[in-house]
Amino acid sequence: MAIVLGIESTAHTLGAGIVGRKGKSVKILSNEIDKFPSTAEGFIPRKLADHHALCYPQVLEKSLQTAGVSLADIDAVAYSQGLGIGHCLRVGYVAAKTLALSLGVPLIAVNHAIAHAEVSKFYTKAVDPLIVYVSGGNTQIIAREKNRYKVLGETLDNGIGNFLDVLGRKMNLSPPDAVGIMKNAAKWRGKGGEYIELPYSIKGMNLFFSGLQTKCEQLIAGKKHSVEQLCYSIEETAYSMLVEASERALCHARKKELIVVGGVAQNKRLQQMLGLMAREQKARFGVAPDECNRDNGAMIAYVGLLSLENNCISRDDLPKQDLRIDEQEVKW
Amino acid sequence: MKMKKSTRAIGKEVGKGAEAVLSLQVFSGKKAVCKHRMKKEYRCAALDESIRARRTRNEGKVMREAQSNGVNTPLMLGVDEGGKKIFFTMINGVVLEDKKTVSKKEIQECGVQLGKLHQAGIAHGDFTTSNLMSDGKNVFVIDFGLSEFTKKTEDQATDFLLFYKSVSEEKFKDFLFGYGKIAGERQTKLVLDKMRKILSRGRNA
Repeated sequence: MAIVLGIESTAHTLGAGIVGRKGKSVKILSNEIDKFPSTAEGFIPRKLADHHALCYPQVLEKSLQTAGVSLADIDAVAYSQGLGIGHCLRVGYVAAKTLALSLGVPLIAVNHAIAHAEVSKFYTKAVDPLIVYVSGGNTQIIAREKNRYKVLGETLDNGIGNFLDVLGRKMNLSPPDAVGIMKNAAKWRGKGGEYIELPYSIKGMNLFFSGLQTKCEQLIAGKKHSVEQLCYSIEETAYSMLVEASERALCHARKKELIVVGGVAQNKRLQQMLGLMAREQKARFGVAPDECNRDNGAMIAYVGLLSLENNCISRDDLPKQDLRIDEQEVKW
Repeated sequence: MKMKKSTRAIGKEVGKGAEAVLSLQVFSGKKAVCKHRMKKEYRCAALDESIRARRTRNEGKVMREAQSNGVNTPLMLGVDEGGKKIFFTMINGVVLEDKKTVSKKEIQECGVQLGKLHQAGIAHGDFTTSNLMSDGKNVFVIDFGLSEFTKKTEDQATDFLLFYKSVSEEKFKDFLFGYGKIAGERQTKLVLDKMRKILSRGRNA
């Protein structure tokens, strides 16, 4: 049995996950995380890095315990190379590299975006899906083309999660982020309340959020609308743009499967909208469980395992803040 | 969005895109293609209605303006705003995305057509090989659903960007050659520089 430990530290989450293969079956043995809570001041890289460094030993220990393995059983250590916040990436890098050196096993640098895509493919059993990757910093519509993942469409300014987080903070929601927006939006949706029309900017398969953000900030300052109504309208607008771009990409790339991955993929309304769209386009829609869509170590371990088995371990293992999904060759 | 040569019956679906269904209909006694923007289940009703009405109205206006400026498009026959339908003539051709080999001349012609569109003050908004058709002789621009009346370099560069992403580097050069024939070298360079700027300010580009 091959066992790989994966360390994730690209943004607000420190994760350690363990994945093992026995014959044909791959199993996620553990997936522990510790997330820095969102605050009204947003995320400060230095504080995130401190958090990761401090909680790493406990998260690793818990992960080993849950998986029922000891450090001596580990065949390789994978870590999240990027994209991400520099301060945070370095904590994961040093932790993983030191561990790999002391155990005498290879260190495998894993592309964070590829990890999100692959672990969701693993869970949904999708073979060649269109991938909608949505998180704090990322909003991309991706499809596999030969040995690479190709970005068909993406945000040309902010990531959708950041966009929602910023507005969540401006409205002093609890929690002050996208989750706060989701909670308020759900209340208004439940009441069957009215929608306020907002700027809707989509160009082909690409999206823009800055115009929408400016308008929303004006409306928040204007205090004419209730917070619930604003949150509802913000969610409906942003997700409709995203679903429309995805629908266009699905038709353009002629894919028959659709998956949504990344932190924002946990949003149930977004899942519902994508599911409805997929049904109209006669495509199969799938989404992995939440613990694999938030940032986590198991997805890093999983791609580490694939890299180990397919002999594609990059020598250049330094963290890269701006690593894109289409930069890396995929050999499986 | 496929439209094939056909003698199929009226009412028959001849193509389906992401946001609309194309079917054969009769308009003012003539055979026509009807583009119907269907309701989208996933969008909330108020937003859906507003988007479909706006795009149908806008598409009619843009197609008329493009035609009068010599751009190859299907001939616009009429708009039914309430029904979210637009009627135009059929083109017996294949979309470039579906063609096995696209000739150099065809790619240059894409540039020529976009050059004319931009000169007419129109940015297409979804200028990919899925929205360009060839009948063997001419290249036609279709689907003006996201088009806008604008002469901003930024919007023109977005058209460049979409085309750039849908073809190879080599083909993009042929496209630029065609565009240059209409817009001139200086203007082409201006839009191209802007496209590179947009690419570079994309996340982690």
